[in-house]
Amino acid sequence: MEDQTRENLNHLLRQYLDPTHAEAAARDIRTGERLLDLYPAPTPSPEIVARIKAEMATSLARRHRIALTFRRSLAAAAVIAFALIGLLNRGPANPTNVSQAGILPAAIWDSKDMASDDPDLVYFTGEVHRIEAQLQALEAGEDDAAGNGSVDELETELRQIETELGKG
Amino acid sequence: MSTVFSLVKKQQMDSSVELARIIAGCKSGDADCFARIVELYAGRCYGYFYRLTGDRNLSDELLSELFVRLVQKIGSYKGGTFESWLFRIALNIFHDHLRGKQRRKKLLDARRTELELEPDEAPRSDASDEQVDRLQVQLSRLDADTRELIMLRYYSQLSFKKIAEMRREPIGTALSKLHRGLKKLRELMEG
Repeated sequence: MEDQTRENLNHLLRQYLDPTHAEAAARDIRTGERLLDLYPAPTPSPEIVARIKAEMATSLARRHRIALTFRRSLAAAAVIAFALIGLLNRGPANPTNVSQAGILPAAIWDSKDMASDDPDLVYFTGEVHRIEAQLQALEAGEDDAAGNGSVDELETELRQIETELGKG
Repeated sequence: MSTVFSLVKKQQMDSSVELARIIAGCKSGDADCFARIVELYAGRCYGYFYRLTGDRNLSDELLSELFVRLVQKIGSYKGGTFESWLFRIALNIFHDHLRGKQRRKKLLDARRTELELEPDEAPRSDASDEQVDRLQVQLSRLDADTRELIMLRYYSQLSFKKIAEMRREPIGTALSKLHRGLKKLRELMEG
C-alpha cells in the first residue's frame, strides 16, 4: 500500500531510540508492512458494494423524510404559536361592569324622608297616629261608659305594633 | 527529482480537493457523493475488518454498518483528516462487535450451565468457513491489541501521531507495540 500521508519514520524513531536501533526498528516495520502488501486482504464483492450503496440511499431518503417532517411540524407549531400569541395580545380585556344589588330599594336609599317613602313605615306611622288620637280622646273623656275596655284594646294593639317593629 | 516530487504533491492536492468536494456533497445529502465515498474507501475498510475478524460475512456486515453510520454522522465531521474520522468510526464499530460477541458468549455460557448440557460441538471459529491465507493464520497468533494497531496503521495510512491520539496512548507506546508486533509477524511467517 502506498505511503502518502505518513511522517518520516526514521526521524520519529530517532526521538525514542539511538540511531542504530532506530534504523533497525524502521527496517523491521517496513519489512513487516511489506508482508501485508504481499498478502493482500480480499476485497468486497461488487454485490456487497451495490447493497451498501442501496442501504445508504435508503438511509439518506429516510433522513430526508424525517427532516422534512420535522420542518413541517416546526412550521405548523410556529403558525399555532403565532396564532396563540395573536389571540392573547388582542389588548386588555374590557373591564367587567360590577353590578350591585341594593338591600334597600333605590328610592328609599336616595330618599330624604324615609317615613313617607317606605310603605311599611307609612303604615306604621299611620297606625301610631291613630292610636295617639284614640289616647287623646280617652284622656279627654270622649270614650263610652265602659271606657276600660277601650284602654285594654289600645294597649293590646300597641304591644302588637311593638312586636312587629321588633321583628323588623 | 524535484519535478517528480512536485507532480506527486500536485496529485495529492488534487485528490484532497476532490475529497473535500465529495464530503461537501455528502453533507448536503447527495447520494452520488456517498456512493463515491464507498468506491474510495470500501476496499481499505473491508481489508481492515477482514484482517481483524478473518470472516468475510462478518466483514460485509461491519462494512455495511460503517457506511450507514457514515450517512448518519457525516454532519459531525468538522474537517481534519477524513481517514482519521472514518477509521475512528470503524474502530468503534469493531469494538461494538467485540462487546456484542462477549455478551452473546456470556449468555450462551449461562444458558448451557442452566441446562447442564455439554455443547454438541466446539464453537465455530469466525474463520471456519474461510479459505484463510497464511498471513491471516499468523495474524491470529498476535494479541488482539497489537493486531488492531497494525491493521489501523496499515489500512488507515495515518501518522503515528493520529493513531496514538485515536487509541489514547503515547506515540512511543504505539511505535513500540507496532515494531514488536510486525517483527513477531515476520518471524512467524518465516518460521
